[in-house]
Amino acid sequence: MKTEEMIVKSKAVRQIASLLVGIAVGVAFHYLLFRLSLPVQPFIYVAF
Amino acid sequence: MTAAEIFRELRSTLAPKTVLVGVLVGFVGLCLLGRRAAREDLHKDFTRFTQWVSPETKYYVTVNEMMSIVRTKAKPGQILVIVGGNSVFRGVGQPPDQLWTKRLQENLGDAYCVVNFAFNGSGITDGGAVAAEALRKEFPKQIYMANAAPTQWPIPDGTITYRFVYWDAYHKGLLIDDPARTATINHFNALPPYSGGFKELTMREQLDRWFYFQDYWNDVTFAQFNTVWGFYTLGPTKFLRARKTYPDPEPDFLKMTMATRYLEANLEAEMVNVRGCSVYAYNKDADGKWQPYAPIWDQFTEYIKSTVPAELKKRTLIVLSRNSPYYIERLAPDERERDNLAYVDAVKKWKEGGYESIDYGRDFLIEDYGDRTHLTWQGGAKLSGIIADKVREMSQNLGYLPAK
Repeated sequence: MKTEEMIVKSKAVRQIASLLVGIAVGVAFHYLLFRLSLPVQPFIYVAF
Repeated sequence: MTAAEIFRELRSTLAPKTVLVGVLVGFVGLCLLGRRAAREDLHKDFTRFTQWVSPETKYYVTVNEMMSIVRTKAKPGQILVIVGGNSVFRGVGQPPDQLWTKRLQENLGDAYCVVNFAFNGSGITDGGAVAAEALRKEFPKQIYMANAAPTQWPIPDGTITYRFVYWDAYHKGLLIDDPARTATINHFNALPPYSGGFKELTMREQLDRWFYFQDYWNDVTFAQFNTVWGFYTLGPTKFLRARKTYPDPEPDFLKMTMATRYLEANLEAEMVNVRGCSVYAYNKDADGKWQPYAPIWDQFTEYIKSTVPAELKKRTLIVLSRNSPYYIERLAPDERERDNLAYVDAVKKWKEGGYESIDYGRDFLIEDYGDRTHLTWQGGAKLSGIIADKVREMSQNLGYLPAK
């Protein structure tokens, strides 16, 4: 019984860890779209 | 353990299908949060965009951010007055509590809502112009104004630095479909320097139409923690400090000495700028009288036809900013005459093109200017009086106010 419980728990941990890793990758990809498409240099304003 | 071994270990430990579901949840979740952020006003108590919220520090304000600011500030029934233009209208050298658009709001009263969307170095068709057009149905009683120099060619999708706002709005379907404007935009964007980076910009905005990454990460950067780090002319950003916590860094010109405001070392360069407002636009005839140089004025007349769609021209006020008398007085008498002609003729051309137009500064004092072109808050107060009169007149003519 204890072994079965441990198997169920380890499966759940594996699924949760997989989901969290996936979410982190999705967030990183969304940020990359934002960050990589910004112009490389900032606009330098000079007024004189 | 090598990286390859760690990756193998992870791959054997993780459930691939669940990872894929997680990727979708994370990505789609942020797209949805981006759409929500696009409808929320981040900029509480908005006065103007500081350099910490501008391309000067790699913060690219979205059209939705601007629209949300207006929705918060404007009450139903008010006449919306959106101020665009460059650093002069942004109020460089005017502390936030003395800003000229605050005086304008006081001058106009509660029937109007004044919003300052000017940016340093931006033009007539940048930021504020796009936001006003996008809000034309929500706020039909609106006036848009921007400042400019005489014969300055307005490019309909904006200057290279700020055209991202136009394309943001365009890909979100917020703008009027105007074939004349599109033709002019295509003409400019096929030529250098406008063609540079244009494909990348449109690709970014097309992607953002679906994924809303700009609104989401601007929200994070402004309100929660910085995500665009760098060393800028204002100084470095603090690693995680949200942009909303940076104070408006604008100094007060009137606390600076005249020698600092009118630097002797810059005199020659500034005189070139002052002469540049008229030198290419006129030639002397045989009698020694200034005559407009036709190629410049004809081109200018042609371009302003499609600067904004026809239905928006009457509510657009083009304000021509004259230079400080400190420099004008240093011009030769005939140059001074030519300079004045350039402003008078440019106002006339804008009006003939279907816009409203005025100029200011002819009777301003050296003390009203902080430097060649920017106003002190004292000059800003004078400007606000002139603009308020014009806005009232326009509101009457446009039928925004009850007939007298």
